[in-house]
Amino acid sequence: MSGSMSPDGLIIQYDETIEKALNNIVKLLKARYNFSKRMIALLLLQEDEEITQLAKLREADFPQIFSIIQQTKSKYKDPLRYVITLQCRQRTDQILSGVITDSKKETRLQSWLDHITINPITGIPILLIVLYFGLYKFVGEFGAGTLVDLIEGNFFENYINPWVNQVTAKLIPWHSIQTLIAFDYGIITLGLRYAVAIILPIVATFFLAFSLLEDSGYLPRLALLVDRLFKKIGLNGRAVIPITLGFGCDTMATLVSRTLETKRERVIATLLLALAIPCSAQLGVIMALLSANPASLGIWAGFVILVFLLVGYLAAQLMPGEKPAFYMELPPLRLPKLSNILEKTLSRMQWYFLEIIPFFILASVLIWVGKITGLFDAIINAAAPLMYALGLPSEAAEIFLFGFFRRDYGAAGLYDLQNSGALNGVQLVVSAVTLTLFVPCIAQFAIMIKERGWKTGLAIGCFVFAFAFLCGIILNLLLRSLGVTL
Amino acid sequence: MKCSFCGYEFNETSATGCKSCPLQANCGQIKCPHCGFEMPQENLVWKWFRRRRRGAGAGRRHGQGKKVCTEGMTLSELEPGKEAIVSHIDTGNKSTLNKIMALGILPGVRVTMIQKFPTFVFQVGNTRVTADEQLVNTIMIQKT
Amino acid sequence: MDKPVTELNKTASKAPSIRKKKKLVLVGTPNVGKSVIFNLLTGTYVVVSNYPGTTVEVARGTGKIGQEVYEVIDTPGMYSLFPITEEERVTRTLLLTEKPDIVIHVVDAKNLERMLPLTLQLLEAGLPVILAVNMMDEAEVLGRTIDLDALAKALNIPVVGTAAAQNRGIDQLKRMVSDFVRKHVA
Repeated sequence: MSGSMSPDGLIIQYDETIEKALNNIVKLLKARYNFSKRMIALLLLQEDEEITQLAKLREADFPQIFSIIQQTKSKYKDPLRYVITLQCRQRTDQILSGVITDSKKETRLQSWLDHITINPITGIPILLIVLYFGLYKFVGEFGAGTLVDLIEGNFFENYINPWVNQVTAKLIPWHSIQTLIAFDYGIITLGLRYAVAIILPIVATFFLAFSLLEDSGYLPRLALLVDRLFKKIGLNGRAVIPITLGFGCDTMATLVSRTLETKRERVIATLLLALAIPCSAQLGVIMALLSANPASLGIWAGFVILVFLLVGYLAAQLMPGEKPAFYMELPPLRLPKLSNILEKTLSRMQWYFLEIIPFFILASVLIWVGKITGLFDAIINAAAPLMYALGLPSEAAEIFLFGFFRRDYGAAGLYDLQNSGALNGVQLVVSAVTLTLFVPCIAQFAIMIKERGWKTGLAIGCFVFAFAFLCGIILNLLLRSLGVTL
Repeated sequence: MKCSFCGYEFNETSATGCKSCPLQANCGQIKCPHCGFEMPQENLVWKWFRRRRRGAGAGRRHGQGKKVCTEGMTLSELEPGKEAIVSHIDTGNKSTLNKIMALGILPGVRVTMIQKFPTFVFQVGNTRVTADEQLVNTIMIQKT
Repeated sequence: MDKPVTELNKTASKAPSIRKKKKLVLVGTPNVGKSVIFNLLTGTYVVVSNYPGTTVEVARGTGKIGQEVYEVIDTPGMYSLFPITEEERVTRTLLLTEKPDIVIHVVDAKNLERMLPLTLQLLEAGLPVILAVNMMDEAEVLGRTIDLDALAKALNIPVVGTAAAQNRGIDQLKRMVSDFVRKHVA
């Protein structure tokens, strides 16, 4: 293969010792590779693990090659990787000396903006402002408040649901099939309503805000600001992407956590995403529910953040493995292009909905099956002692059951329950906290198993399940013994 | 910092926790690598104050003709706004070396420190890099 | 993605000589605009952002350049042919196994000196490389001018300057791809 390739591009020369070693290795290489033999020899000299393994298997003369490598290595005090890179860079600089001309120009505004976003004294307030307007005002109040009220409260409650109920009642004579499509738990009146009326506006506003941050180049700055904190919980600044993305969709974030460097970090990130990072739909609904009472919102946020840090800290202490250094390029701050932001938001939403709608419909069907067969009631009854320990009415078991199908589904159930006036302030906070920490939704669980293996995935799932209820019970006891009324 | 017992000056980060200690480097104590005396870590306010003073004092010291050691400095010691040339990368860890080289940080390259807290930010060519102490400490520099 | 393939097979079977779809691979350091170029070449959308390392998976699409239909492959960013992370390993394995007909190395004009070593490595590996010097507009703002002809002469490969986010230089890039492939097939 290498023979048929274009030999016309520039091939750089290294120093004599390395060239000699390269030539000798090339002569010994007999197998065919898709890279040139010179490149294979270079990779071998620099002790690339994968290629070394490959050569060991394929080359009869590997011992000789190995001794050439050792000899060459002994001639330098630095690793060959370093020596070769340095020589390559020197050649590059020679080539470029006649190609690039730089004249100093400074763009004032940009460097000023650059400066204030990375300096902690100004950067942290900016971060808080970004969070307040981006997450709280835009996603929480506008997305989960205004838009949800408009679509769900007005459009569905007044027009679609009554109409669907009427039509189904007329057309389908069997009561059980009627309830599959319409009424309290129907595919359209429940599944589709949740998806379109509650989740869509929240997810759309979140992804829009996130895309804006992403394209402006702000996220790496965020990474450097939180690096120290993240190190305490076994991650580093690099984890800022999966963690912030988790506020949009934990499933997507778990997928992205593969960009983290070590297995240790990936497992910790997966655990924290499953446990303490509420996804946008859940976050939006919870914020809308609790924002009426700032104290409730404060307790909820404080408790969840505490759990996040505590579990992260403990995981960091308990998990063995190396702690990789944090490094990252800081891209320039750019004015985001509207078309790219819209396109990106749309493509993310499309991904989200392709993934979400089947689960919503499936969940509706499963709930319907559960209702019809009485299985659902049996689970709710069985969960009654657990609800009692949480200080919640037994109906609350329903939202946890929903929450297993989708996190946001459960949160949306909480929304319904609250609207019916079944919960007092303390109960609302306890159920919001427990639901936030509670198991990942089916989709996230599936990705966890796919990405981290079934053992780790299952272990994280079980831990989160038990730990969420434990936290709920503790919080309930705490609030009650302190006599807090909200 | 300077050891309050023997007066030996050393880099704080080179003297992190005792390996077997469960508290690692978080015990708030720092051990002088020269005499083994343990002293409390400097708090931020004092550090800042001292840095200011040293900044003012350095010129005077230089003026007195005392030799200021410029060789064997790590990038973490470069003050914000100052420029230096990378002389060497001092690490036995392959992956760390790869990372540093991937960012274009190689001997002979100019670096400018931009910021040191909460995380290091420095400029290499037209690239801005942010990195933690662990990485920055392996980059040896020579002042220009 | 399956549809275009079958369509292509139909046209291919009609054509007198059976043509295989050519493979075009985009490589480069994280955050240099590979995904933008991918989108422009294929007309399909992959997520683009101003954050290094957002392309986690290899994206494949088809695009027509000149008269030829290409399979265009977008890869996770890599700094060198010596992988540090899992994604970089993915990219190198792809280069090692897929036998690309053309590799477009996308570099950031502002940081050319840092990225050119990868071009040299790709050439050393014997890969058919075109160099796309992207973000020319940002380099200009910084006061940098690059003599692309001199660079092409020094490297002896086609070099093109682009500002992909502004859709500048993409037509020229396409023309170069066609010329390059024609030359190498002949």
